[in-house]
Amino acid sequence: MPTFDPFDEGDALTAANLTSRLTVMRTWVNALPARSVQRWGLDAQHVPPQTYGKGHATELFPNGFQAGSPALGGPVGAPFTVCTNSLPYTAGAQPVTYQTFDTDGGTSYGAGGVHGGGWRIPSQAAAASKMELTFDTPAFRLDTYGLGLLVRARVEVYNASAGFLMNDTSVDWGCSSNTASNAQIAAHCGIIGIGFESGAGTRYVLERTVRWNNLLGVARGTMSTSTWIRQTDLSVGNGTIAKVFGVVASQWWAPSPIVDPASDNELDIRTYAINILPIRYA
Amino acid sequence: MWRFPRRIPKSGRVADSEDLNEGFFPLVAASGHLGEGNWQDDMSGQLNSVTEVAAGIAYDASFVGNAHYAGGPVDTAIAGGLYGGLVQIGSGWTQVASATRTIDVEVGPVIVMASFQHGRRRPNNGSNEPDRHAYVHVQYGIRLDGSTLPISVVGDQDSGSEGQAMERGLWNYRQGVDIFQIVDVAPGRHTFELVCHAEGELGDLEGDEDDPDQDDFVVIYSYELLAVEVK
Repeated sequence: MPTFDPFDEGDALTAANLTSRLTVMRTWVNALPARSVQRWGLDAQHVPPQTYGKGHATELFPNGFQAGSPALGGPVGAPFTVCTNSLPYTAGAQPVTYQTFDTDGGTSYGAGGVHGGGWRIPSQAAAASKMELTFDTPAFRLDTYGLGLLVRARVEVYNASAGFLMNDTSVDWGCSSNTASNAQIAAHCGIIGIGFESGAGTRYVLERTVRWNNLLGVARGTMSTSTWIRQTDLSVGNGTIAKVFGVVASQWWAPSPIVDPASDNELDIRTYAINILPIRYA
Repeated sequence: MWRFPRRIPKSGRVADSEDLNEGFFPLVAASGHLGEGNWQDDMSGQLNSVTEVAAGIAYDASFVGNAHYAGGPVDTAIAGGLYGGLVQIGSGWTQVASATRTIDVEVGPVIVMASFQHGRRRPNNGSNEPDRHAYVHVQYGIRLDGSTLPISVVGDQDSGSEGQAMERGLWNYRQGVDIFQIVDVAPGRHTFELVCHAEGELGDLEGDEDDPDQDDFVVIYSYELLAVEVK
């Protein structure tokens, strides 16, 4: 119940004492919990936008619904090598639905060595340029607002050096030979995925978002992936979410009997971005 | 519906304390249950709202035959059910695995998102021969109520030919693909599918495209298909 000070007989009605009472009521009404308003008591003006964008941006993501390289709206940043042969390779193993990574205390941003699962979260030097969005509310629960997160991540592939040797001109290099040099044509991959960090600080990469792209050595272009994150995804952790991020990795891939070309599968990227749209649903 | 305050003081009238207090009492004593019954039944169309009416994502962990660890025998283990989907080359526009969503649209439009791992071409003998020329073009798109939406189609339409430096098909091996499509549909029930169209032929082991297998496939691994109505 709100603290209401009734008017007494003989009280002077002033703008101040009327406004003060209205303010008390307004504050209380605005703070009403769910299931506290009478039937048919609300109309369109009371209903929050279900895309959870209009008027709510700062509640979930103080810095907006996009994050990425400084080139977004600014000068193009310098390309950088984000990883080389980074993703562990386990022939024949069935992947898990949610991969954990960087549990060994290593840093996951920008370029770095192979550790913690091999994923890297792209980041230029500036801390604000991480390919990552942080919830304003730590340990956020999506089901608090019935939200799903529509997420898309993309990176500009600047260079994918090594792993591609057209040094054998005697063959049609549509993989018509099983020589190691030709193997590399099909082998080198840039990999992109989307993950989230739980409120407990554990990072998970969603296996369904992992996309391998045969880059054919020196190709430039774009890698992208998208997903829909729901509360059910968060149960792999502690049921809460703190961040959403994009990850990249590099590794070779080729169908058997091609063998590991044993080259450095380096992935250089330049611009990158992650976009998110929180949507209320059923 | 709430009227607050119930009685608004007007200029030129003597304010009565009882009237003023009564104006506040409905809120002071308010209690109830906020649910669907609280909303005006004709207001949904007025909102900037999005509703997911599909049951979820067309994603099955048992089909995670992703390229992630596919350099080994997993990639050839059809019996293990690890492929997301196989689309036979030359079979026309074909639904990818069980990538379909049916939703009841009230107003529209609908945002359709398909994200998936294009795998590669695979000969019908189940082998994993990497040295086969692939004169095959592959396209993907969104099919609405049985008709592929041309505007949604991605991929290439040129199969290439012998003598070229390499196959001209864009997607020989691994490729991540995203499709975002806004579809304006009439109110009612609609079905959206992720579909694939592959034409051409795989050459034999010597690279002779004149001796193809007729039942070769395109392999699709992990996929996700989402349809949400914006109203």
